[in-house]
Amino acid sequence: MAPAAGSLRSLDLRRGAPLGFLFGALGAALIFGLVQLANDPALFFQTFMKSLGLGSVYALIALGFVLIFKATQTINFAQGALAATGALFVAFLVQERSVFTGDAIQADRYGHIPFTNLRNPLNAMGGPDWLYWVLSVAIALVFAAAVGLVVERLAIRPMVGEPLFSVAVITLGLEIMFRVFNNDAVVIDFRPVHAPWGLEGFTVGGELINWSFIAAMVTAAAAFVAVYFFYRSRLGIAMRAVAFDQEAAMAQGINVGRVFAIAWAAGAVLAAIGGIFATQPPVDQTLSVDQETANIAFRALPAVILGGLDSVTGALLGGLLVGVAEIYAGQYAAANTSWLGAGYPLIVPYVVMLIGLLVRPYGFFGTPEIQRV
Amino acid sequence: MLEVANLEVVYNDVVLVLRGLSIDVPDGSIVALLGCNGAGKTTTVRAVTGLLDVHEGDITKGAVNWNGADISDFKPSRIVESGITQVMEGRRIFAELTVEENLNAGGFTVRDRSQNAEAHQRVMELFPLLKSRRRSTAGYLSGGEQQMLAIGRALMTDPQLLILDEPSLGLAPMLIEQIRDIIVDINKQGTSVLLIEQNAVMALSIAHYGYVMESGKVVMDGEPKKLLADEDIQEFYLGLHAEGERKSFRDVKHYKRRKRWLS
Repeated sequence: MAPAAGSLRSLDLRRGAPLGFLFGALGAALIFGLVQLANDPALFFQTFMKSLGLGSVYALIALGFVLIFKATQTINFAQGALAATGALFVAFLVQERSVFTGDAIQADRYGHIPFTNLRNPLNAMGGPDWLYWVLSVAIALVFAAAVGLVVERLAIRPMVGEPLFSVAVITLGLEIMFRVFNNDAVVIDFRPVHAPWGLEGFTVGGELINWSFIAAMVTAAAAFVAVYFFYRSRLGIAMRAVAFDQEAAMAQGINVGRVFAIAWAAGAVLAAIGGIFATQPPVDQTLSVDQETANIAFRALPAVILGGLDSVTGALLGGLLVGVAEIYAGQYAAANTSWLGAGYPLIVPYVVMLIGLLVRPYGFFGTPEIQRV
Repeated sequence: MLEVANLEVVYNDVVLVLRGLSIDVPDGSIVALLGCNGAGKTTTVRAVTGLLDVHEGDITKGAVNWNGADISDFKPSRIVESGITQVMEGRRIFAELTVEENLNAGGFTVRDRSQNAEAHQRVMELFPLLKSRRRSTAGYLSGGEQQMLAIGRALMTDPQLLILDEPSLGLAPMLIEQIRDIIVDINKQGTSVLLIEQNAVMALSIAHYGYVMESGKVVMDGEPKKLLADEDIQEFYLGLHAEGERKSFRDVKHYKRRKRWLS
């Protein structure tokens, strides 16, 4: 009996081929990695920390996707623009005290947040620069949450009960709108976000490891723990109930609109945190918001899909896996494969996603029966 | 006390489902609302609990009065907070959440912790079965357990009026009896119950008063004794012959009794 079943399974090319491919690729990567580890341990360690740093940024962005998806069952394609907007808030809040670089204030049209008269109330504050920066980021996150609330109220709430596909396309429109607004009306190019740790770091065996890698990892871990416990709180349970059956949740007296609003606010805050890290190594060396920053969401998208869209654990592990794949491809493979062109590590996440989806179509931690857009 | 007066409900501005429905649910009683498919029972529940909007329905005439106030344009959450909770048709538990989380989601509107714990205690006493399965995923419970969870979840809001929409749907006769006894227990603890049913035997055996609905109107109402004695009810809801025997299909195949309440 058993051999028949076994041989049948091995004939099932649908599963067998991608699985074999996956294990083959993993095995090759492992051997290759071991060789490199023996070859230059310090470089290998630096690459490892860098990849975890990038993976953490992806995980932060992915958590935002998951939070909004779990409440509203839609992928929020505007996540990237929200990330850039959040980082922009930080840039405008800290610009009058360009503390960490010592540069003069950039020639600038604004000394305040554009289209408002809001200046950073902390400008006159004494105390250490890092405290000023951290508090400014906190204020920026409040603004980011407000943007999330407004977007939800104006563009998403009226669509409750409409086909999910329409809502997803609306978020895509929002992304474009925000990008255009940021690029043209606010003029986004190279606005410094700064960071207490700047571009500095510590060296291990002569190789620099940026503090921003560590900061990203710590933040991602904290965000993961916070979201994990949030889903076990009163409000979090209500959010999952709404996601599962809106009408039944309404019949229990849960205010669906408020739950949506909270999900969007939290999603926008996570996007903003991701956006701040998207201006720092390993994503970007400029410490500034620019037109590239909004692309971080699309770079992180494979992590979300791979993790399964509705799983917090999936977002974290998916982010790390994709980050590792991208950085290692850039560090070791790119030099030997110049015939593929220079920038191709950027698409490695998508290749990983493709292979992952062939093996598990609903992601590694996703719920199979959930209807997707 | 719930008073539904002359209620008219239209779906999508076209489909007239309720045409002047009037029912009363006095405090502390069990009221049964009987009717076959498409009579408008579930629409009545939606109108009372404020869920018509979800289905593009509108109240065009009449009023829903709860303890003297008109609640027909309240939001669902406000209606739950004012003391009316329903157990939806088909159970509609949150299958991906655990039993405990389902109950917690049910108690969302109750902010007071001690009150919440009390409601939880009450549910656990009514359904000892749920106690042993607190950590399991609700979707893996059996049909009867799911129905109990659905009722327990609704009780977590500590309602004055519990509306049960076809609690016997898809359950074995033995389980129906269990559910029936639980409804009686809940009522004895001081909660009024509006019991929507197709299973007339079960509903009328515990109700204090009954209504029979047909195409959006009440066509008959009265004490269960009176309803059970009625020939039409016996014929159409209990499947009994005038002499009190069950008819075989062969006898009724070409026979249609004229319902006298329509004349």
